[in-house]
Amino acid sequence: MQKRIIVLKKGVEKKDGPDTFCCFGAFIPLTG
Amino acid sequence: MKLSCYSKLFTSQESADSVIAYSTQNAAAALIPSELIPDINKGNLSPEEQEILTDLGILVSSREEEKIKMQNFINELNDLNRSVKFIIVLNMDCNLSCKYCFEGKRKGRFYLSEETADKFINFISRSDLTGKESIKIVFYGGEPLLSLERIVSISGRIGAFTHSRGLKYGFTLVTNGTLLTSPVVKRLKEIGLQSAKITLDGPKDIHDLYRPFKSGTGSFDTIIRNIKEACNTTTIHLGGNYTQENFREFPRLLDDLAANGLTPDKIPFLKFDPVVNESNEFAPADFHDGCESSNEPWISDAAVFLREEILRRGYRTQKIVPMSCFAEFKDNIVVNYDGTLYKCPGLIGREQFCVGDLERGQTDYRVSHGLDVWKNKECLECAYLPLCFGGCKYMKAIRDGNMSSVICQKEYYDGTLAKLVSQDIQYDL
Repeated sequence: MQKRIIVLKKGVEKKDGPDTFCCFGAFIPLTG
Repeated sequence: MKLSCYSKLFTSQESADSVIAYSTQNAAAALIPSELIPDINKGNLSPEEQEILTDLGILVSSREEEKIKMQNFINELNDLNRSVKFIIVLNMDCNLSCKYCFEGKRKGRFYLSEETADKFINFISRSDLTGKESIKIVFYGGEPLLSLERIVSISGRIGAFTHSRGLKYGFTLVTNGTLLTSPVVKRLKEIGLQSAKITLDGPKDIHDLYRPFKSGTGSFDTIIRNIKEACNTTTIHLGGNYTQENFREFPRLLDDLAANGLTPDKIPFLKFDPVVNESNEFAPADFHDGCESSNEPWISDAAVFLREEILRRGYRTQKIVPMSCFAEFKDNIVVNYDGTLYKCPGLIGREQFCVGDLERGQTDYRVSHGLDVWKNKECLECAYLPLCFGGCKYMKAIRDGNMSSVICQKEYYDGTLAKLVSQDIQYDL
């Protein structure tokens, strides 16, 4: 049995604003 | 320490005696032994375990404090934003006749004039660019490459302006790809082209049905030919619009791409989205097969299915991170061909959502665009808030004619997030 916490993904940092064009209903990523 | 309001616990598919903890605030994820979950709730974790989960944003000292902090999340991003971004609608014309086009009845031979281009340059030169490092432009239409000379003219002038101010400049295109020939790409590359987003609506038989030339002949082969050349010179992002009836056929497009040599090393980003039904005011007369809401069950099925098909072939797609509407950012502006300003390309031509023009500047749109509608108890206590921030304002506007409340995406995320996060982990997005 797994006993320890395993980090799968580290958190992303807040970036200098959104940089990807969104499609309607899909949104723009705010971090990356 | 408490579990953050903005975290979710999912059953792990890989490890039956563990759960995946995921932070919607920062996309961090951890695999936690199930036996530790009661200890999290009771605050009985070891200092080391607490530190790991606190660093990931999965544990917080106070839920009340994090809710207060969350209300400032978008403001902080606005303050951090070092670029000004314009989406310029160069025309409302097109050489294709897509059966679902959201611009529908707004289409026509309407072009951004040289006079409006002058006003745009003046608008930029009058703007407060304190603290800004770059100006980014998305050339949009209609079909932006029907205004090629206008792109060259505007880009040249902005390039000179930004150079004189020590700012960076670059632009992207949202194009149907039919006119993106090799000489055009080379010419645009020299004046700041960074990437082009091209749409393919499935394999050839489906694409040609949905995105024919005005003559009625298919556009698939022309677009593929152009992409094969263009991807050697600039970055090509591929999009595609699906319906409930055809999304299961889209994997055939992915196979077609590979067969044409358009492998993941050539196409660095690929994402499919559902067609949204426009309001009767503008919608094409004979098309009703789009979605009305992201909460329709088939949208969840399609999102997970298509993402898996993309990822398992080695292509990259959008990872699950905090997301919001383009309109939330004061330095994001859509310039319509007539010089009026909007906050989303889907809203152009809807006077009630016009936020100014190139001469007057941008007006205060905070209330008309419902920027604070998610700052209520229910949203602030919803784990999905950082992925939603009140939902798509365009969908709210076409459904209700206003943006005065949220368009909740809870059902969509209830149905998809565990699977989407598992994909992100499995494919290391």
